[in-house]
Amino acid sequence: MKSHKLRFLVPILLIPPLFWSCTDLTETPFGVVTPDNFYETEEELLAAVIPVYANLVNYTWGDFMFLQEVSSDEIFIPQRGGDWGDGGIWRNLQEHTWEPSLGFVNGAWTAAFQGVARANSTLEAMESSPQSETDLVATFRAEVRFLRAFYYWWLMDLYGGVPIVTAAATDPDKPPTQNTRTEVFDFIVAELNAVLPDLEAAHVSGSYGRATKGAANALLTTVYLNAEVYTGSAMWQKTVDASDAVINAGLYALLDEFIDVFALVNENVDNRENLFIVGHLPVDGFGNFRHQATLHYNLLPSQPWNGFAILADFYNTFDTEDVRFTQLLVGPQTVLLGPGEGDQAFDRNGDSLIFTVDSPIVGATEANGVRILKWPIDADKSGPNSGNDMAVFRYSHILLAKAEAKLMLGSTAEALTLVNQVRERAFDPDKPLTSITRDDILDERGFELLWELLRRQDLIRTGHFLEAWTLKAASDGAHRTLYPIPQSQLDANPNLVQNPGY
Amino acid sequence: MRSKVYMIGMAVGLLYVGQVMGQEQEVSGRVISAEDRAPLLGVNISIQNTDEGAITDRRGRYELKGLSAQDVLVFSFIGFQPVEETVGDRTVIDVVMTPEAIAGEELVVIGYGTQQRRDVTSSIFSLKEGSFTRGSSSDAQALFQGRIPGVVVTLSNGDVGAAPLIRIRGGTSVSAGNGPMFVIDGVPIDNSSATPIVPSGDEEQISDGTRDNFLSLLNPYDIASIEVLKDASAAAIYGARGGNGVILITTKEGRAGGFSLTYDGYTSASTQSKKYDLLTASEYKKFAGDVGATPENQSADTDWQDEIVRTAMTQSHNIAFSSGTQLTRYRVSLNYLDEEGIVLGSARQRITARLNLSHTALDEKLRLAVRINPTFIKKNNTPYRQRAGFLGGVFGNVLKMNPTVPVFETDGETYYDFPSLGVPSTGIRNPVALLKEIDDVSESLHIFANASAEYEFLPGLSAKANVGLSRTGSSRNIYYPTSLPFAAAFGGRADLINNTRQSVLFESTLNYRGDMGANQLEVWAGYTFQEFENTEFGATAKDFVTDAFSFNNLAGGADFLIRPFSSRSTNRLISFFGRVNASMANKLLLSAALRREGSSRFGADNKWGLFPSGSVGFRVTDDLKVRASFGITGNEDIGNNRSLFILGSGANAVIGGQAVTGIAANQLANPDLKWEQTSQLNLGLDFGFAGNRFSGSLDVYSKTTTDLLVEFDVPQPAVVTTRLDNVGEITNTGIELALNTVNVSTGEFFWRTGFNFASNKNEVVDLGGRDKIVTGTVSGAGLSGVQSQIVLVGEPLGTFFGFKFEGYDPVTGDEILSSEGGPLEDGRQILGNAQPDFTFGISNIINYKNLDFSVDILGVWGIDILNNTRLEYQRPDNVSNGINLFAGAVDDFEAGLGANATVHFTDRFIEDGSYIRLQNVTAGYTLGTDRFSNLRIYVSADNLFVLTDYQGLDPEVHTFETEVDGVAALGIDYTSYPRARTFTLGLNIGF
Repeated sequence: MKSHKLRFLVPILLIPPLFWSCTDLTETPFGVVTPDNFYETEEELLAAVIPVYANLVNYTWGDFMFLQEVSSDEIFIPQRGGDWGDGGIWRNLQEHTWEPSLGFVNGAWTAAFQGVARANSTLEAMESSPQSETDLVATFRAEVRFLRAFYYWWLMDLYGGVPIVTAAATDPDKPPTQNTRTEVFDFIVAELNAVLPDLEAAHVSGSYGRATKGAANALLTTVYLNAEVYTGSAMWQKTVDASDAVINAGLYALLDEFIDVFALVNENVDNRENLFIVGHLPVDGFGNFRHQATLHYNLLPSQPWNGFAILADFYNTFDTEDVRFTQLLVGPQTVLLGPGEGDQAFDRNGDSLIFTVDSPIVGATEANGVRILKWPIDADKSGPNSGNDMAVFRYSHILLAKAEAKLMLGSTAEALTLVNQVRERAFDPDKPLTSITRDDILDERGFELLWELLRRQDLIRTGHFLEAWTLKAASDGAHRTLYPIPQSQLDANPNLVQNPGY
Repeated sequence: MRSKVYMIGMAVGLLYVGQVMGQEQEVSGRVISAEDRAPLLGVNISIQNTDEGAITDRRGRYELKGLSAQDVLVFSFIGFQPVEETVGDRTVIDVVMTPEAIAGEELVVIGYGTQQRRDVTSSIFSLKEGSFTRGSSSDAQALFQGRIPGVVVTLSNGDVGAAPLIRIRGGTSVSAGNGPMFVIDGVPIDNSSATPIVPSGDEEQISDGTRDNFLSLLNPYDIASIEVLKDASAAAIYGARGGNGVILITTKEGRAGGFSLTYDGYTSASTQSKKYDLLTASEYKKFAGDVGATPENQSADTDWQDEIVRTAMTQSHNIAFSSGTQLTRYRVSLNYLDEEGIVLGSARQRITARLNLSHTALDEKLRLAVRINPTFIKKNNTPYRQRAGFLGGVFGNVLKMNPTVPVFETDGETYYDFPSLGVPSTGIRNPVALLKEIDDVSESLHIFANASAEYEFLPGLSAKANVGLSRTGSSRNIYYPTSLPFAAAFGGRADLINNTRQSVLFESTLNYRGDMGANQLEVWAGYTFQEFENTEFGATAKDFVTDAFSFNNLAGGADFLIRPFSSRSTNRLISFFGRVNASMANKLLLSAALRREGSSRFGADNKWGLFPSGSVGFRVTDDLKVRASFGITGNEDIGNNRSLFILGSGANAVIGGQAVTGIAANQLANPDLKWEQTSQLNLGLDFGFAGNRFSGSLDVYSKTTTDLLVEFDVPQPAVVTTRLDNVGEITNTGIELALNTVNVSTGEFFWRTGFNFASNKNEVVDLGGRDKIVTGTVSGAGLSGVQSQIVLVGEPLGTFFGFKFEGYDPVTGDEILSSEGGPLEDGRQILGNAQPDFTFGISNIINYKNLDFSVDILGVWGIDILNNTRLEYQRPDNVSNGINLFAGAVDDFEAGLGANATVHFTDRFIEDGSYIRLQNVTAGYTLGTDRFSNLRIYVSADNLFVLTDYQGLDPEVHTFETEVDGVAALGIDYTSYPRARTFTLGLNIGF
């Protein structure tokens, strides 16, 4: 039998790891990169800066926005049947009954701190990059530090004192210690002043959406405006100085028409009213969900979620001749996009859809509650994604901030002029105020800056946040002006101390 | 040990011992089994006190010459009680052999080898062909569901080829896999769903429900035995993957002794076994009037549940051919399955082929074997969702649909879609339109091949090399045409996803078997290497000019809804292992094993683990064996690249009006990441009395799993919020009993009963400093962010928690909920648990003459289910929202629930999910004919009834995607694919 020759081969083939003695268990990831093979080129540096910007989407849609808006007297989410019941989480925000375990509280914390962490790791990567000495890197570095200060503003505003960390590497076994709210405030101011020289003065067309000197001065204006809340001492003159840095830059102005500020065609560097924006595209992952959040199911082909609405009290503060009143949807509605555009709209029972001013917080109908149509409908809307950019800071906010600071400094006439500057385009014929109080400015800010995430701060600053309003009893304590440190963060970092009252 | 001698004789392939010359008498006859009256192939017939004898052929026939009247013929066959017959003056001696309930000599497949059952010292359950559950078994889990104590099989829903959830002795893990390892013919396989799942996240996507059963790649008719390794001593040989138990599937081999050709075919009809109690049109209108709601009224009377179901017809054909000589044996099979689901359009076609070939050469010292198994599956999926967004898939919409509206407009062909609402799409979608218009097709081609060579160097010492390759290529194509009003809004939509999974195995083993009379020794040593690779590619386009392209021309869409994506990942396992089995004085049995295994999935500092085990058995008498085992196993089922610091895309921003891709950290490093470790102590008892007519085993065990893989929050600031860490501990303790009896065995009447019982107690002991993790996402409108389960120290996994319902507020009609106490101090209480207190199964086989009859019953007791479907649809205010509701909501309304009150997740919706199911009843008739070795027709009914208090469609259910941050949830039922009751007519022919 010929095969007997094989006899000598067989044992060799069968002896264990002789011909396959692989014991290599190194894991090779594909389609992902590790720090060893990144941050080499300019494009890669940009790609490392972008993630720091990415966390800004929480301004448009996310836990940060929910905490700022739904707890104010501006926006609430009525429970419609079962819709938006969601275990009472929206009601907790509106009624100021949140607990440290509320998911939103942790979500906003991690979103802001992730921005901080991304900024820190990008800054460190820039240090070791071969590009580290170029002007480009200097600008990027300034932007990243601006964004880090911006995220710390979120954290200081919502939670008070938080750990200030500027190192990229953190050891989970040595968690950072907590700083005071004043220390965070000082850190933000110092950082903004340090990076101002390196930031670009103005946007160029390819960089609309990146941070400029105007953005940094707007943030300075805003933190000074609220300095009394943050540090215990008011800083009205510094507010005026920071706002003047914006006003005197010569780059910014109010657009002639209120609605032009938000027009899709004006989402570019020529829009002189926008100081800092979060860009959106009608594409998955880049979309703006706000239309989806507020509009009725049948108003758009994308079947919106019929949630966010305006409180009746707030609605009633509007002057019906104010052009800004038209951003509020009340009464019979028409379809806003799609094949039936302009036709009468119906509710899910086939009855005419008529939005009402009044709405209970629970047990609302589909049609209860005033809706917001501040940003025009994007015809290219794809699913829930609209392409409307969101302005974080607008010139009108700067003017009104300056007005409030001037008023607090005793310059009532200057304050009145500034407020009327903002009112001018809102009324035809003009309807200027003839006298001014701090509450008048608060109201004006409400008309002008609806759903721009400044309302909660404005209410806290002017002492109205804890008061009762139609849908809310008086808050159960002054501690509600701060959110609690999230429970899971207390668990993860034993150095953190819970805010008083929680 | 008389029969053992014959067994060894068989094993070396002695087929015809030959005829003996020189004496006078000739005897012939036929040997059949008392169990099914089928002819027995390969029965040894020896003439007592001689070396001579014969073996039966495939028709059970034998012939002996040269006998004298005093000769005694001894008929022996593994698994049957021996029969002795004195020749006398007979020339024809037909014999009916009685099976042993459990045969001591039967070979049990253990990891990397086999062992006689009587020598087994660990907890292994073996189920052989012939003992499998009868009836229409299109997928392999139906063969053993409810038959093995401690193995709980939960079919996720009634879909064709629905994925089973299999748990052996409870769950051991919070966030890693809890499913057992599967090994087919010695090759470990990837046991996840092959069909790609469309990335969810957008509202229009309504087809994420379907999950494949990986066992559907196997033809159930090819399976010879299923062994379950339950304790650590048995499973530790599979090291880092053995922690959740191991299921070994062995396929049929060719037998020597001429050719055998069998045909098995059946056709079956299935209907929906249970419906929800929804309001009819008149009830709906009346209730609307009662609460003052004005939903649309189109005067139709449509039962939407009936509109989407049908009587589903299934046919299966299986042909197997086997033959062999002393040197070469083979078996070839071909299976065709054409299966309809009871929901319109859902269907599966499967073609499976298998060749198992072995050849012996070099003086029978070299044994070569090849197995090749290609399977092609094409499936028409039903568009349903596991976690409803706002709009839901088919089943959510069936429940929503207003019963007063018709399926079609008056023209009889346009789907009714609420034209009065003004916009061509609403919060409701006509489910019949979804079923008929959406094309959702998945196809997969699976190739499974392995080849082995074994060589015996010296008597008793052999080496074996085994190479295995498994590759599955799957595609999923979905098209939503513009004929669907909601799809018209985005111009049609095509999803395409392809994936491949591949694994390559190489292993070599050395085996020594020494037989020193009453003492025996067997030693294994081995090396194994296995690498897995997965790839995926997909894209979703929209805005199609025409529906004619369907999903066949992605470029026909003007825009991407999901931009093209792709991924690739690999992982690798390398192990060295050894095992010693020894038997001393036929009394004392010892086994020890050690596996050193490394996995690429673990952190750089923890790549390798050591998994030792040992067991001891003592035969008190021939009828009674006691055994004890202890061992350590692991669980590495956590996905790839989890220990590395990874930068990835995904953190993007819009700059200058353009989307810009950012690269940011996606994951924090954990160089210490390692396997979850399970140590298990098992004490067992095997008994077999009355010639093994009454036999069984009893096991008690205690399992402790430590180093649980859990996502932990890391202190902020951190680029990623959590990190995977090894912390925590879970224990499982339990008892298992299996009993098998042959109650009656006469020549004409045979009755065998199998009974099994298992009870497992699961407890979370430690969560690494945390005391709880919340999971169990509740689905449905108004329930975003509501969670239903808690992993709590001191409680089992699958613990439900939530508010207790305390009545209705007489003024407002609102629900009053518990407001104080509970694990979170917020009023939410522990409400139940989704792990059963105990499970049992009873199977009976009764034969009388040519009639056979079998009944299989299984039961699951003391289990709770969250009826999430009822939570969303038992709401009086649905009528105000224009959608339908369960009749129970009317009762709630009458009991005081306000017409517009919010219905919360409370204990009202946690239901007792205990059940007893008549799994299968089969009756067959075997035609006595000489033309065939076997000819049997049978009728069979599956799921004839379920005794349960559960109000959903079926208490055996599992909704996927209820986990939160990777922490698995159990026992949630949300708009599941309905369950069928199936009647089958079948035919078995053996030529």
